[in-house]
Amino acid sequence: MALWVEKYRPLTLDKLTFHTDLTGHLRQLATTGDLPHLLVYGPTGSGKRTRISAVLREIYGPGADKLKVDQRVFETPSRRKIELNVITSSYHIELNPSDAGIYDRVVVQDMIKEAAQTQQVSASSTGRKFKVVVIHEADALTRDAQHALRRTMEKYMSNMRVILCCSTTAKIITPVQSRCLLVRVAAPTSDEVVEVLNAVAKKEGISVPPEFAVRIAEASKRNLHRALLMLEAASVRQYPFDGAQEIPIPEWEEHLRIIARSALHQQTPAQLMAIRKQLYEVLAHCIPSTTILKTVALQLVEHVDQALKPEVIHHAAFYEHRLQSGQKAIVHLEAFMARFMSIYKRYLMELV
Amino acid sequence: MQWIKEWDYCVFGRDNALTTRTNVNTNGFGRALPPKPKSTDKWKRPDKRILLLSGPPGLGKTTLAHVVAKQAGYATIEINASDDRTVSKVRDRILGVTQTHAVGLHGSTRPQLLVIDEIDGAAQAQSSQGDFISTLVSLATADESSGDKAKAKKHPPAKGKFGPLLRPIICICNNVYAPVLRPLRQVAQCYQIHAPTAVQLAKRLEEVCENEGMAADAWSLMALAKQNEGDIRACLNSLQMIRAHSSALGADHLRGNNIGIKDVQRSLFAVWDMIFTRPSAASLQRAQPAQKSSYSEMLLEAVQSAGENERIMQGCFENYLRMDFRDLTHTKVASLCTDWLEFYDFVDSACRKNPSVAEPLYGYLHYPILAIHRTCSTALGLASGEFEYPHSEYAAFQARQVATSIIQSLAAGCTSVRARATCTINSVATSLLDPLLHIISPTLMTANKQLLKGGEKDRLMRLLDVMSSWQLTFVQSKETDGQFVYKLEPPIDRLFAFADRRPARNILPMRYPVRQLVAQELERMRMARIAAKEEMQNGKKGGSGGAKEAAKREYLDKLFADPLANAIQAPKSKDVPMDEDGEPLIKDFFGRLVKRKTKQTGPKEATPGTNASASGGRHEAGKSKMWFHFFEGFSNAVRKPTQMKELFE
Repeated sequence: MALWVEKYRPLTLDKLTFHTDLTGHLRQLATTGDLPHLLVYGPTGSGKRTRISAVLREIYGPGADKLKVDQRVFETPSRRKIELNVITSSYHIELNPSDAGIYDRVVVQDMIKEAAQTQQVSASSTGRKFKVVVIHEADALTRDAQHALRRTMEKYMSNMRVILCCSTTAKIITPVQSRCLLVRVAAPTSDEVVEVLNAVAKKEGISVPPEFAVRIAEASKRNLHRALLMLEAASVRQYPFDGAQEIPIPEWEEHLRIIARSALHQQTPAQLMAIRKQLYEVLAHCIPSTTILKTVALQLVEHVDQALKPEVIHHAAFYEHRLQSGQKAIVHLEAFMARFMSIYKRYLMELV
Repeated sequence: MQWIKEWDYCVFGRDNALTTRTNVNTNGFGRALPPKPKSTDKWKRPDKRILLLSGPPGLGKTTLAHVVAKQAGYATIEINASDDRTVSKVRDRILGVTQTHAVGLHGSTRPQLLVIDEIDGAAQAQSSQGDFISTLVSLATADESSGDKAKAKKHPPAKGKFGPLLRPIICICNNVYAPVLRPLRQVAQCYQIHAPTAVQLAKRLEEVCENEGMAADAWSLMALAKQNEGDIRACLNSLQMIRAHSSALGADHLRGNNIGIKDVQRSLFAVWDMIFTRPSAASLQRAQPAQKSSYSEMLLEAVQSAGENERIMQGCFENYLRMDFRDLTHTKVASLCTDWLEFYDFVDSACRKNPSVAEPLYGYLHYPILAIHRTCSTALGLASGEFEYPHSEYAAFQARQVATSIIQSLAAGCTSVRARATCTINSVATSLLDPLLHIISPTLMTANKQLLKGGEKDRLMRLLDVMSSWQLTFVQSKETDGQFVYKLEPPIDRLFAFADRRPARNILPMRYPVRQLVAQELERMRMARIAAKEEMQNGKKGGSGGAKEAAKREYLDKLFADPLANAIQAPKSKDVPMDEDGEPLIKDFFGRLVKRKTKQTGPKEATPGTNASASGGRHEAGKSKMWFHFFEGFSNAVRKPTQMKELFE
């Protein structure tokens, strides 16, 4: 496949490079022929999906790789129709209910019941009686949907297993957590990222200077997916690499840096107004609001005085929580910026 | 009144005697109009044939119309909402009234004047004859064309068509800006009737009280007038009600049992203005003698009655930062934001998420506004022009919508299912998009495939590989200034750029010819792939394309002949050599042609049912002939038999 990220994605458990312990556990699970519900969590770009698909392949054999995309239509109780892309093989279903917004409960229920009510046809060939439903971005599931999961997970245990994939368990309700085997996939260390980068580069037939690989690994914040994309982007930009070459940073991140800088520069309502405009723009680029808050907060923390750091972080966490319970992201983002400006200004005045 | 008098010549055949009578108006409105230029109309009618009175209810518009008409010597005919208002009936009546010189209703010989009351309630009744308002408009404007004709023939025009309008029409409405009235506003003389001042109204009320033998002091009448915001009818009604059980009007009546308090609807801007203006103590005293409520209560009431809470809040949110904060450490803004705006968002989202528990919560939705008033209001209020109608939220929403659809189309184009699985909107936006754009924008120096060096060739191949796997292409389009450009499709580069930064650092800097090359190469790849697939299918079926497909094919050829001719007008095509020497150029030229075709047949390929016919058809095409026109209408057209196979090379 075209992008290196896809092209060199390991398909089997054997080919996974890092987290060998975890891989061993997963293999054992898969070979015993039975599988509990799984809750796979870890930061993005640490290989959760890759591991899930590798496990599926281990269980069902190469048939699990024959994927096709279905477009399913679900009807909500209010008679609205939702279309959702569902990826299926003959053994499992992958879905991403967060695309359905607040109607994800319907999707989860429908899909799981559908999967559960039909038994595995080719049970004899693989020796497995169950199907697998993979739910991506499970932390984006609404409470309703998670509660809907609780019962179905138990009821249809005989026919079906659920694999939840999410970046944090904090947003998964505890009853669901307790029904699953928690599998933590940590982000790879920088060294591991470098290793993978080198391996890919070798296969592509390009040479990556070691210091450059290290820089990419650091810039990607140990996100392998991102690191590979960065490597590919950089190779298009300039090849052969020289060690000091600029690593392309996503534009939106750059933009958020500018926002943080302007908040540090001046603390007036007019400035806040300008910042609001920029925030709107970032939001319009489909960047999730929590990511925005996090990035800006980290940028701010980097630049303020030691004494202020805990306070900024505290407020960031506080508004992140509010962001979750509210609806209009902009209000909360702006509230955070306003609060920061206030803190910072007071600090500056005390300093004088 | 003046307007009515201007009709005099037309109706009564006498000269316009404007100043002979003074306007004795019951309600004490004196309207002094600037003298208008004399109408040049041959009936000496006023320029605008319809009078449109507008104003809030209860100011005496209807009364005014009737009084004026009577004064001017007309018999009034009223059409109001209680009457039948179907188009045909109204039309008959209007025609009857306005065009006959015959005697009036009750044998009086006075000419008639039509008063159409509550015209904004005239529904946009869908009927075959057009709606009510347009009937009126056409009536008012009819004479421009038919007038000359009538003059020539010297007899009234045929029935059914509107003749010239010879009688005045007065329309009355509450909201002159109602969308229904838009066409009417342009042809009518509009007068806005404003509420009389409290003093004027109180005087009038005093007269009424005297007539009724009711004791009332000026002060309480003033208060009553104020309470009703100048609505005379409401004042009179409440007076009558008080009269029913006591003979004197006292302050306690007004304060005690909430008589005559109307639900006043304010415009949104008025509400915003109230929010951001801090009343001076003196004006507060003056404004509220009767009710002891504070300004904030008043404000709350205004907000509640204005209804559109969401809109008001949005307006506050978007504008509060423009206010003048005297606050050094910025704490005011911060606390306002945190405590109140967020509170609003909580309550609001709670209401939305769970409508069943929302009932008790709705009450709280208004209070953040009060908080905003407390922190942000200044004595000056909003400087005019500074306040902006809230639209940025909606704009952002729309922009987001566009971005989402672009991402979705990108994800839909992804050919690898495995990659597609990872394509959620968030992940694409945050991590995939930027590198992808970098990857598809390598530096290529020349646009000529033959001149590419080894490294560049590799880069091109790589680019083509990536782009085809995401089904990205460049599509030729024409800019407003007539330049041809190749644009990325789906336009993911739009997601990349941020407005106030320099446009995407050397992302996609590729010049026109380079993009052209890429687009053509992509096309070629796609065709090759389709051809390979076809080969396979044909091998299976043994070439079962029948006559039907051939016919279809021919049809398609014809269909595309025209758009093709247009598409080929790329700047280069003029000097394309016609012989086989200019191999690359000719390929260019045909490359685009081929593209058009695949686009059309592409969707068919997707559905398995029609698959056979489409591919079979293509197979047939190998034998068919094609025509190309360079610049339609010029003589240098080309007609040349070509085989599809040649194009694929």
